Amino acid sequence: MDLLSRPFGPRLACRALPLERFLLPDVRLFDPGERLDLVGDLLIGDGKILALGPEISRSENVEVLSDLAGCWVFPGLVDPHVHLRTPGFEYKEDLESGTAAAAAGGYVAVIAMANTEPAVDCGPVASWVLDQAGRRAQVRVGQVGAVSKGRLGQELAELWDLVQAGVTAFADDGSPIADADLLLHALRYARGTGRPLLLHLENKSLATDGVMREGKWSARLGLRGIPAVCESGPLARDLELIRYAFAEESRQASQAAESGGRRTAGKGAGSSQSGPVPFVHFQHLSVARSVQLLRQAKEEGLAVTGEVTPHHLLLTDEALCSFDPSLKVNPPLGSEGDREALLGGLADGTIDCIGSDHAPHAPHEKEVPIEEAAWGSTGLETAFAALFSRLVLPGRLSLGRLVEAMSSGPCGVFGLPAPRLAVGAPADFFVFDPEEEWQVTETSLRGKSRNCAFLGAELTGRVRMTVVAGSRRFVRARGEV
Amino acid sequence: MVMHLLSIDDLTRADIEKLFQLSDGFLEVAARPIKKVPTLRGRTVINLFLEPSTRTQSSFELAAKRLSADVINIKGTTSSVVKGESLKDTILTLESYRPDIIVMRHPQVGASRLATRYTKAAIVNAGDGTGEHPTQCLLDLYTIQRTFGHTEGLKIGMVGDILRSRVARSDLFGFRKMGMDVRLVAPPTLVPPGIEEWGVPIYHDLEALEEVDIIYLLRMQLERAKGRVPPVPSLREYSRRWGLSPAKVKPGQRVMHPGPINRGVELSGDLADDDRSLILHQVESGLAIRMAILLWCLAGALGEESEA
Repeated sequence: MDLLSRPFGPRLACRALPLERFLLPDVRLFDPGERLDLVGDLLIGDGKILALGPEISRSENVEVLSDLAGCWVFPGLVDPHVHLRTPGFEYKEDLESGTAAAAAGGYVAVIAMANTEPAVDCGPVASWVLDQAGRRAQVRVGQVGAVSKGRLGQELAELWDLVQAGVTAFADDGSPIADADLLLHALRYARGTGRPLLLHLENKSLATDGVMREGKWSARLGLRGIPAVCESGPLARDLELIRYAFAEESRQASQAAESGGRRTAGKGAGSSQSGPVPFVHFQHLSVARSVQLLRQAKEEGLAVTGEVTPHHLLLTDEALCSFDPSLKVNPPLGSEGDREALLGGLADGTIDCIGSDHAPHAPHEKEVPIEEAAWGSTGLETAFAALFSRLVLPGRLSLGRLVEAMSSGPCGVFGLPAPRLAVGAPADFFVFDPEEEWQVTETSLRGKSRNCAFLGAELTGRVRMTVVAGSRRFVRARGEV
Repeated sequence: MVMHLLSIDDLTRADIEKLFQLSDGFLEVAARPIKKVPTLRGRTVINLFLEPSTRTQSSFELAAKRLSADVINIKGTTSSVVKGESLKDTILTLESYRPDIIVMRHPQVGASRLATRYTKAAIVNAGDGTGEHPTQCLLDLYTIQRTFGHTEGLKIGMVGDILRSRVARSDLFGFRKMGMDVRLVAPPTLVPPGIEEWGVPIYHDLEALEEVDIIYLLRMQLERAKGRVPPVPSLREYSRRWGLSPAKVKPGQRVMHPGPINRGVELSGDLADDDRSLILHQVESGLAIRMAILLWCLAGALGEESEA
């Protein structure tokens, strides 16, 4: 293989199903990226959107899905942050169950983290996962490659080998990159790969054995607190390192440009992105101070992006009064002030996207006292419906911004083409019934695990159908559990 | 008065051209059946090598012998340095022998400059840690001069472990002094931070070698990585992405390497043996230019004596 050739693009894999031809009649077609909001029909065939609009001629031989009339159609959701637990922890979730959950939540693509066993830290493991996804996954799966060997935070993983295997990004998610020198090496070595570096912010030495966010409620409950500076401290440090590395990169690039203007200056061949590559993405931001720091960095023009989870947008530390182990998440749920700041950051674009941080665990890992419980909540199946019910319906967030932050937003982070409702675009979308009222129950969940922070919640609006690559991956009749 | 050679900056372009001329003469001597001249008869040269070396040490030893000097070799592993003697004391001890030249290799940057404080001998820096290796630069320039007939305007791409390379640090500035156009090609983690402020273009992809006349490969210096984050994940990935093979060398391009080479890492074994490789010419040039350097160091002193 010629390594002088262009770097390989990211590979997103799902099982191939026969392409279907069908028509959705009288649906609301809504895509903020296309400035589209109208009631009409949608015709699907050959894996693509064949036609959309108020007056599509309905030929005889097209299946018309009239029970979906009146529903809303959105571009498919993309989750920048999920744990499909493959390889190694298939008892929690696997590619089939995790992507079934994703399809049930309106997702057409998910990006799987590398904290598996073994970690996805070399080309062969990444290729294996993507090959498996090509056979089993209901929605497109992108795989993250670890930044460090074994995610141990000591030595770089073979990032170019991972790129060749088709990884979407690099991340040691689940663990922070505590060693500043390693982070600097990663920022430098990943130049030219065209892949973003995703950072999990956490000062482990401050977090120690904390269970929830430090504050009023940790003091009341007696659970050991994790201070907000556990996240904002590393963020401030990382931003300084990124400023340094990006400034160095642009100095080198402009020097090379002056001396002959070769395209390869400061970048890998074939990278058409302007600005520093990789850009850096901050995962699951959870405190007000982080939003402030990110906003400031973006105002300077630093190539960084941010993510927030549905649970940090909707729940606070007060909820821990229930001692429900599903609410033990990392980073922990913040104060009401944090929640407001995150919501403000999402609304004004400081935060680019919403990631579920879908983190399934087996019952025996959660049915224990909260101090012993594993970290994480599932989220793929509830993310859109919960945010729609609790933010869009009360008027706290616009529908357009929600759809953006869950579809084109994450695509922007990874440099992937965003799903669109446009003629000729791949048929990657979902159908949502905005009026259906339902309760999140254990039986309503498709994934393998039941540790969902929204279990018991009563929501308005539910996914009815998800179409990926022109075939129906999830279909649910109205009222069906 | 003796002259030290500590950095390539100690020499002007005219000095370097003068060394080329002297070396031409010594190359001619090397072709004779009797390869010895009496130039430095009665002079004492000490080779103080406190870091492993094969070619530099043997080259200097032979150079001194062919100039009829008396030579002693002191190596790090067998010297009193392993008994805890400081560099200052080692040099003061050697100074008692009243040597004319001390050729010195040391694992720490600036050690040869420090040594000049404690001896009246000329110090020749034969490599100080990750600092400089000026005689390597001179032999490289001389090899290029012999191969191309000139240095002015030639384009050279230096590839690999630039961060930890004293050869790169001397070569970059020496090549530019002689009118060459130098570019660096390396993984971003092996580029010395701040080097771009010296106006040198930096690339991260071998594509940047397409238009150069000479490809200069550097050895991956793993021995200098201890206790730090390794700059590349593996030699395997390094050689796949930044290693050179005959297919990546265009017709007419020449390949150089200061040695020792690591076959299969920075270059493939078949490239090392390819006739586009100048690696063995470099060794040959090294002997001649080191004879010239030893003479240059003492030229002032010799002149004073002949006048007296």
